[in-house]
Amino acid sequence: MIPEHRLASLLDEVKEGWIERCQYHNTAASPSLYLDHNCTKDDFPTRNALELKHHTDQVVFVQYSNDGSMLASTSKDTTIIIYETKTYNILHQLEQHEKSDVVHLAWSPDDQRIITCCLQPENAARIWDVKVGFRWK
Amino acid sequence: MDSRHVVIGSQDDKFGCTVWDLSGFCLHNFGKDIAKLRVNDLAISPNGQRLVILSESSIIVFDFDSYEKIYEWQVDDVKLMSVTISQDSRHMLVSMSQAHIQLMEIDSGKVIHRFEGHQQKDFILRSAFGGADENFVVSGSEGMLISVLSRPPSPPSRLLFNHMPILTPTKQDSRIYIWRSNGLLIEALDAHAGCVNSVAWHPRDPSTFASAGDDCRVKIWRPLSAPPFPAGSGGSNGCG
Repeated sequence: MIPEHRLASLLDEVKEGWIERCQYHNTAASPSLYLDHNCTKDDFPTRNALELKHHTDQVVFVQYSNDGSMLASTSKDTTIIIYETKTYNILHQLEQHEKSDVVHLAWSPDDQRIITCCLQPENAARIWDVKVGFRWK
Repeated sequence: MDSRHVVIGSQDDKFGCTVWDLSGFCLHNFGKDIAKLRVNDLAISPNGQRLVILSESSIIVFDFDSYEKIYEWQVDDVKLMSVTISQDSRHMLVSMSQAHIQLMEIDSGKVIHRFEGHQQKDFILRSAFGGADENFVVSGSEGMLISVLSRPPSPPSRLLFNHMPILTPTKQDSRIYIWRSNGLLIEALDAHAGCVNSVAWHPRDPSTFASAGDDCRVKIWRPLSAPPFPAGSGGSNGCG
């Protein structure tokens, strides 16, 4: 007797094998069974498409917002820049960490706020409202 | 952080890791139960249930609802640098000194995979999951490249096609390394003039990621086949 769903599990194994061998596999979609599967390098990000030169000192950390519509970067120049991600134009440049390198940031899950932290001499964490670019706390 | 609370980790002996609400009230101080907790990095799982703290020599996993410690793993001989948790809240990527990155299961501590091949000596490297379904690991390097590795499917998810690329931490050789989850090094990209400090994959678009470097630049990476950005992109909006 053939076990139940045997054909389905065999086909799943074929797909798994393809995905494992596919070096540039970068899609969540299940591969089609009509053709052997192989992702090409052309569809994989390998090219520097855009350079953003707004910071005036080392850029320490970058993080996309949870929905991908914004990108925030922190820098030794004590500022945080928030870009929108269609054209990477600046939405806000936040400058209130006085004289301290901003080293890390995190987006709130609803992307309404970010929290940033900095080194000496300020040694503080600040919460910012992203829509307005205003320091909240 | 979730939208109501903030977790802050620091090297301060008294306030090693603290949870605050948005009005500035301190809800919990993990440093009270663990003497001299100095936090190198921390991460909260997307489902809000687990907090992972990297201290000098151990990985500590807490239940975030009860603040109770679940596990602690001592790590000898290496320095723990950074931790990232996967979207499914089950796995974490721990970057260590001597150029090791470990993919571990959060609740059991089992090491699923190790990634090597990038350079790291003195500086903190951050790694991240990236790509569609988190199929890759991306890392920067102390040698100006960005590495991309791809990640093998773990047995329980064989039928779910739950593969995740891993963004490797930026390294001090100014490259970005990308590994596939089976440990295979896919790409080593010459990235910045100077150290690559951080790499972030776009959460919705698997064909885009951004990198930050000591050369004061933020670079956006796209496939060769992608159309160029419209003219005037990456400029100021005039409001300063």
